[in-house]
Amino acid sequence: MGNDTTTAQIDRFLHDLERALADRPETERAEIVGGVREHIDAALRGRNASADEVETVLRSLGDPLEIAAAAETERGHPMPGSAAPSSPRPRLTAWWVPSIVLPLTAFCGFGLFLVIPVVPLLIGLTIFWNSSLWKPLEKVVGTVAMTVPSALLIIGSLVAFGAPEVCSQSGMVGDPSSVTETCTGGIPDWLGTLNLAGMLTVLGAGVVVMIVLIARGTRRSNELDR
Amino acid sequence: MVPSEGQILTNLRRGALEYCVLATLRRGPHYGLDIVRALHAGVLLGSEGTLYPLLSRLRKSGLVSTVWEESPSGPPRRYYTLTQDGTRALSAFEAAWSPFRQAVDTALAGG
Repeated sequence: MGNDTTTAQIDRFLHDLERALADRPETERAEIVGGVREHIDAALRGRNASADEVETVLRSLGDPLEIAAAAETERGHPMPGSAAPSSPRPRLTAWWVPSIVLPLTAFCGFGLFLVIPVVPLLIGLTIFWNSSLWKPLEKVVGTVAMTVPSALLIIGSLVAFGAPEVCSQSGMVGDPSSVTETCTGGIPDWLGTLNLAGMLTVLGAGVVVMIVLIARGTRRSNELDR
Repeated sequence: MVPSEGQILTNLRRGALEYCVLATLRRGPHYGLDIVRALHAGVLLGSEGTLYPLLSRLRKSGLVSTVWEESPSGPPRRYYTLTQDGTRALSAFEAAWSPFRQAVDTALAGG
């Protein structure tokens, strides 16, 4: 088959095809280019083909870019019952679930004691629980991490307001030095400090848990994109 | 926008072409060019070269397998053969195709 001109024509075509398939995995690229090369060999078999004949064979093969586009289309095009099926993408696994919905939900959860974002929090939690990006245990831990710090803050405030400090003064009229103040109720200062430290620790732990879950969700979503 | 005949063909091929390839292989192992010739390029197949990405996927899915055979002229060539899974997939397509084709024909004729 062929002289130098036709060999160069074929080589250029195969080279263009290799380049067009640059994004495909090596084995797939080699398989497609090999198939096309054998196709050309078979079509020109044993003949000393003219440049026109080679041109006809190459033209019916189509543009290398078209072949590469077909390879791109074949990707993620599973066949039912095949040995290597790739399932449809699980629900709620797009990039925006871990990178937008979950941070917003966590924000609403941590801000819950301000009593503003209840509805967005519930929407966010619904998406979080229906997404396939996290395991059930992670969903439980995440929900606790997002809501418990606020719940504790609410309970803490109720305790503080529920036991207000009551102070009264007694002493002799006209003698300021004799006035003594007695206070009942309320919570001691050390308990208040401990309370605050505990809250911040729980809140901090909640934030750390959420950062881990957001990172895991983002990584899993990216893996599905490949 | 009204889809062109070419676009409609592209869409129709998407569901049917791979089974036509499998049906060709039911008659025995073929190499790529044989399959192209059996498929009446132009209707079932757009550009002949687009068969090879399809064959690559069918092999990866386990519906066809390849064997190398010596060629009388030149280097060995890969022959494509139907696997058991491929045979099963083809039967499933055939079972679905006849009622599908009839329903489409009836709908088009009935208007």
